[in-house]
This record gives sequence, structure tokens and C-alpha cells, in this order.
Amino acid sequence: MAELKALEILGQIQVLVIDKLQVVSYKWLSRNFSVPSNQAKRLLQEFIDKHDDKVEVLYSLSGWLKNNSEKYSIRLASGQKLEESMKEFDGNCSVEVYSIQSCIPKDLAVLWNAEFVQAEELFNQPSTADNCLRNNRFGGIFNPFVERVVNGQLAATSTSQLKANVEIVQTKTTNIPKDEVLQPQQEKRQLVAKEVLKSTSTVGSVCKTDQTVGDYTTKSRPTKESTNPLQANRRGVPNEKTSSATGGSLATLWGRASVKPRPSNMVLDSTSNNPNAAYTADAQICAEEAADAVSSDDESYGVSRKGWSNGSGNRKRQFIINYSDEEDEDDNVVPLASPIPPNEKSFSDSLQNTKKLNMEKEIFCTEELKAETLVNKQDSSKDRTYGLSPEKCSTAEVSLLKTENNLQNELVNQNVKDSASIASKRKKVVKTRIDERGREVMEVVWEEPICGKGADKDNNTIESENRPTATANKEQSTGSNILANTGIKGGAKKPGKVGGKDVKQGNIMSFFKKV
Amino acid sequence: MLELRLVQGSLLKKVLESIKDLVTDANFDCSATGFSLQAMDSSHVALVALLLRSEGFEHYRCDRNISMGMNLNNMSKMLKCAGNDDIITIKGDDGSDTVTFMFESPNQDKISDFEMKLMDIDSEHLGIPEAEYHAIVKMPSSEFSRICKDLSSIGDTVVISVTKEGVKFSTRGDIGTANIVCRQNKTVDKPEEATIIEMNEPVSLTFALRYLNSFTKATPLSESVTVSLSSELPVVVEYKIADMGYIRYYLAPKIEDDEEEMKS
Repeated sequence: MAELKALEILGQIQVLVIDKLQVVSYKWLSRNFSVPSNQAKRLLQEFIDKHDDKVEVLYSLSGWLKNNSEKYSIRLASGQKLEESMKEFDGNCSVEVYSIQSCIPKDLAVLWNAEFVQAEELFNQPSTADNCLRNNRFGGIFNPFVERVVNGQLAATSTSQLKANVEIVQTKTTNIPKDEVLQPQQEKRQLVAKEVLKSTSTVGSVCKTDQTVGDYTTKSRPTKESTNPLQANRRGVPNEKTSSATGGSLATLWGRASVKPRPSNMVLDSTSNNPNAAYTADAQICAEEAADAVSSDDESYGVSRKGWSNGSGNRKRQFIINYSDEEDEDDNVVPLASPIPPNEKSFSDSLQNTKKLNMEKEIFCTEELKAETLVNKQDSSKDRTYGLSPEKCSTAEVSLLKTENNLQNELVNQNVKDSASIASKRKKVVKTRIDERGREVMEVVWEEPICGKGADKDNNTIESENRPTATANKEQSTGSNILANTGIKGGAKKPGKVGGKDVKQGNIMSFFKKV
Repeated sequence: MLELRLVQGSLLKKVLESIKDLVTDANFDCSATGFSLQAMDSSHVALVALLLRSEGFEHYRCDRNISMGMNLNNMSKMLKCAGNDDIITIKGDDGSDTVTFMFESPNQDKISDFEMKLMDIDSEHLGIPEAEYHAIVKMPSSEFSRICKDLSSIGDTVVISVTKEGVKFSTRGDIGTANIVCRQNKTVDKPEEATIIEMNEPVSLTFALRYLNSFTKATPLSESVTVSLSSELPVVVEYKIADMGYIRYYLAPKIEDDEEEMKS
């Protein structure tokens, strides 16, 4: 049975990686097919053995570095860089498959997009549902000190620490998804761009035990306050705060990745079977924004996308063009696209992502991924991340900064350089065209003058085909709903309900004469 | 001068309930023979005919034929103020534009008077000829009501077909189809529970369930219902009111197109 299952999963991996161009990480695999994470890694290795030539592999290396032997470090390395990276480790380091993909994405966010969406979906399940994210039953690492509580008490440490200083921030951050942290920061990107980059890449990572988190939180608090309160004040999100303060269920609060205040009843929607695929975009855009921000430090004029709200009811993507320094004016908000059904959406997103694949491998330096993958490897910790407040996440991240000060600095510098180079090559372009159904389709695409592989071009075309159909499908489905409705009204229900008189309905007067 | 005293007051209440869904305003005609009403629904698809014979009243006095236009909703409101055991007396004066309902509690310790304004209603009184029906189905009224209710949850129209096998009610909707066949059944304890099918020739007609469901509001009035079908005539759904008369509903069939989908 197990072998059969493995074969089946391998087949699925092939479809996902080679046909759908998705990044398949062991974590995603493990949760998606309900296999233990270690087995997921083995499966990936098996797949690599079979399809060595077709896929690019990312390995996760963990061990002690030569130049900094005090810190246990985990980093990702692509297949080509594997040897090189291994040399940086002191003595033996463990090498395991992290993910496979058809090519190494230029945009790092793509690496954990699928995971992220998956985790969000699991998270948005009703709090009663005991899914693999909550109980971490597939994780390879268990920590006796970590007690997993599903109902929102996780963030207690960071909350209490911050209480004295910033009450607003504290209530706000107690239960907000990490995404929320990313987005606000992105609003403040001139100031905290570096933070964003780091936290973007450290999403999903957390210190190994509660203990350390707690310690570092205290130390790193000043940094946080310089960003969060500001941003909280700027945004002026009292609604959000109150709702997050009063809302009981964790799922309620975690459903809101949007920065914009959203009525808490939206949560009901988000638990529906339309999960928030918008996260995919969110996650990626965050990284992009960060890159943008870093590169455009001195520019007062920029184009940014923001305001993805998630819940299915509220799933509207907005496009904001800022021509001034004031970033928070909503006057320029242009509704960009109708929500896309999650599946198609994530698919198209992944296509879009692959479009950004970059051949310049040096940009995809292993260093850059370090923070992200630092603890990614640890399933248990990762699972906990979702239970942590963003505050905690970011403090955890800052604690990483502390522990690995040099490395982080290095990383940041590198990020700045890299993203600058990326940003300089890309342009965001709004394209409007009429699709085959006669609808006006507006898309925002990253236009890259430099195309990577030949596949890049293919992806471009695929994407331009795919996107409209995704929206078109949606429209079609609503259209068919309308049809169905009218069908009901006009067809079967025609006789009485509309007004009584129907063409086919006989009239009593034609049978009986007036006296 | 008009004075009708009905001991079984609840009967009048039930009558009103069974009419007011279909018709909003109607003329009640009083004559020496009885208290009657004939009205069409606003779309002129259905017609309701009520007759309460004078013999059924404890006291019936009607000096001359009189027609009283009443808003059935308002009348129903007033009749709802009567207890189920109350004795109801309808009083009217010649030339008056009001009608008075008097409710007496059974032990005569409470007497209520409700005076209701009358209205002028242009009545379109139709002559309903006596006709031979191809098929006459008598069945428990609750069964008929149940069938109509059930089918209306699936489709909007019902095809009532009477063959020698029995009477078949079929419908079709978005979710699927439904067929209910009732066979003749005379071996029951009470005659009201019998299903009796008299068929001269097979008949199959299509009706809007919405109206049939309105008709079944009269179910409390009678234990059994008689459905008379003829291919060229409206269906008649008759509820007998014990010892007093009847309430009859006429419903024009749906004229089927050639490729009528409901045909089965």
C-alpha cells in the first residue's frame, strides 16, 4: 500500500513540477498528501533520482559554519551551489532535499508560495478542525517544551512583554497573521524596507524554543516599536483593532491578511471552500514590494500594489498608483480584477511566478535564503509560527538578527543589491485588452526586458492566455449562475411565480362565460 | 335585513382562510338559498365558488338578495377575533355600507361586535355550466394537500393523469422529477379515507402547482377532496362542507405546447 501511495504521489509530483511548474517543497508535499515530512523528503529524492535532468533541486543544509561556529545554521542551496555551500560548513552538515521545481525562481517568495497558501488554508479551517498544521503530526521534530495550543494563547509571551509600551500594537498583533505584518511594513517601506525583506524571508521561521523567543523579544523590542506603532497610527485601523480584540476565534482573526479593516463577519466567508489564494499573490508581492522599496529608496514616485483583501467575499484586488509621498490615500484605488477562483488563481500565479524565473543564478545566492530557511527545516517550529503573533514572528526574526548579526547584515546587503538589480530590470505594466469573449481584461504584469530561459517566453504566453481564462471562468460561472437563475424563473417556475399569467396558462374566462 | 347565525363559527373562519390566499376582495351574495361567493384570482386563472346553504345556519334571514363586497383580509382579521367555539352572527342592514360580525362565546358570557366597512366590487360573475367530467377522483384531502406540497418543492407544474391504474401526479424540476400514483382504495375504515376513481376516459392535464397549493388551504374544511378532470375544462377541486355546502376551486389547465416537457 505504501508503495502504491508513493508511486501515486510521485506521479502527482511530476504533474505539479513539470506541467504546472509549481515549486514542491517537502513541507507542502507532506501536508498535501498526508505523509510524514521525512517521507516527503525521501519521495522528493526519489523523484530527483528519476528525473534528474528535468528539475532543479534546492537542498537545505544544516550544521555549524566554519566562520561562525557558535551558531547552528540552516541554509538553502541550489544543486549547482551545493558543493560550494557545503564547504562553508564546518565538518559534516546534513543535506536534505528542500524543494524541487522546474527551474530556480528568481523571486524567492515563489519558493514558499504554495506552502504559504496551504498553511493559510489549514489555518482558516474552523478552529475545531484538528488538521496537520495544528497538531503537526507530520513534523519530524518535536519539542517537549513547546505546547501547542490552538485557541490563541500562543502569543501570550510577546503580548505581555509589549503591553507596557504599546497597547494598541499589542492588541493588534496578538492574533494577526504574519501576512499582516508584512503588508503594513510594506506600507512603510521607505523606513522598514529592510525589515520587510527580512521578515518576508523569515516567514515560517522561528526560534527553536519558546525560551529563546521570549528572551529575544525583550531585547529586540525597540526595533519593533519604531515600526509598528508608527504604522498602526498611520493606518488608523481602530476597527481592526477592536475586532481583533473582541473576536474570539483564532481563525476569525487569522483570516484577515488584509491591512484594511475588514468586518469580522468576513471570516465566515473565509472558512468557506474558497480559500484565500490571494495569499499567494500577497506573499509574492510583499517580496516584490520589498525589493521595490529597497531599490527606490530615493524615489518619491512609485507604483505599488496593495490592498489585497483576502476573504472570499471581499476578494478584490486593488491597484494603487501613488504619485506622491502620501501612501495611504485611497483616492487612487482602482479595482483591478475580479477575484479569481483559488485554484486557477494559484495556478496562474505560479505561472506568473515562473515567468520571473531568472537565469542569473548568482542572484539566487544561498546566502539570501538563509534567513528564510533558518528554521524552515524544523516542521515543529514552522508550525508554531502560524500560532505566533506577527509581532513575535518579527521579534523572532530580530532575534535571529541578534544571534546571527553578521550573517544578517550580510544578507541584507545582498538583498539590497539583488533586489535593486531585479527591480531595475522589471517594470510593472498594466495591460488592457479585449479577450475572445469580448470582455475587457486588465492585467498587471511584470515586464522583463531580459528573458531567462526559452521557457520564460512560453510562460509569458501561457500566462497571458491563462489569466483571462481564469477570470473568464469566474465570469462564466457567475454567468451560468445567472443563467441557472433565469432558467429557474423563466423555465420551470415561469407559470405562477412571476405574476401568475403565463402564455401557456389557460384562462378561466375562456371556459366560463360571464353571466 | 340580513341575519345569519352560524353555530359552528370556526367553519366560517376556515372558509376565509381557504379563500383569502387566492382572492383579496370578493362579493358575498346572500339569497334565500344561501350565502355564496364566486371570485377569480387576480390573474383569472383560478376561480373559487363557495356555497353555504341556508339550511346549514341555525338562523337564516335574508329578506332580499344582497351582495356585500368585502376585503377578505380584513374580514379574516375580524373573524380571527372569534374563538373557535364561538357562535358567529353576520348582520347587515339594507342600504348600509357595513356588515357586523357578532361573536358569542359558547356559554354566552362574552359577546363581541365587529363592524366592517363594505366595499364596492365589480364582480365578474361567471356562469359555470354543469358538465360531465372524464374523470373524478375522490381522495383524502390531506393526501392531496401533501402531494401538492411535495411536488411543488420539486417543480412548478403538475401533470395529473387519470388512467385505469389510478391517478398520477408528476412533476419535473431542476433537481429532477417526481411521480406519485394513487390507486383506487375503497377498503378503509372510514369512507373519507377512501380513494375512489371514476373514469370514463383517460385524461391528462397540466396545472400550476401554485394554485393547487392555494386550494389545499381548504383542507381543514373537509376530510376528502374531489378532483374532477376533463380534457377541455378547468379542473374542479371540491371540498364539501359538511351539511352546508361546498367550496369549489376551478383551475384552468396549462395549454401544452407541442414539445411540452411535462408531458409524460
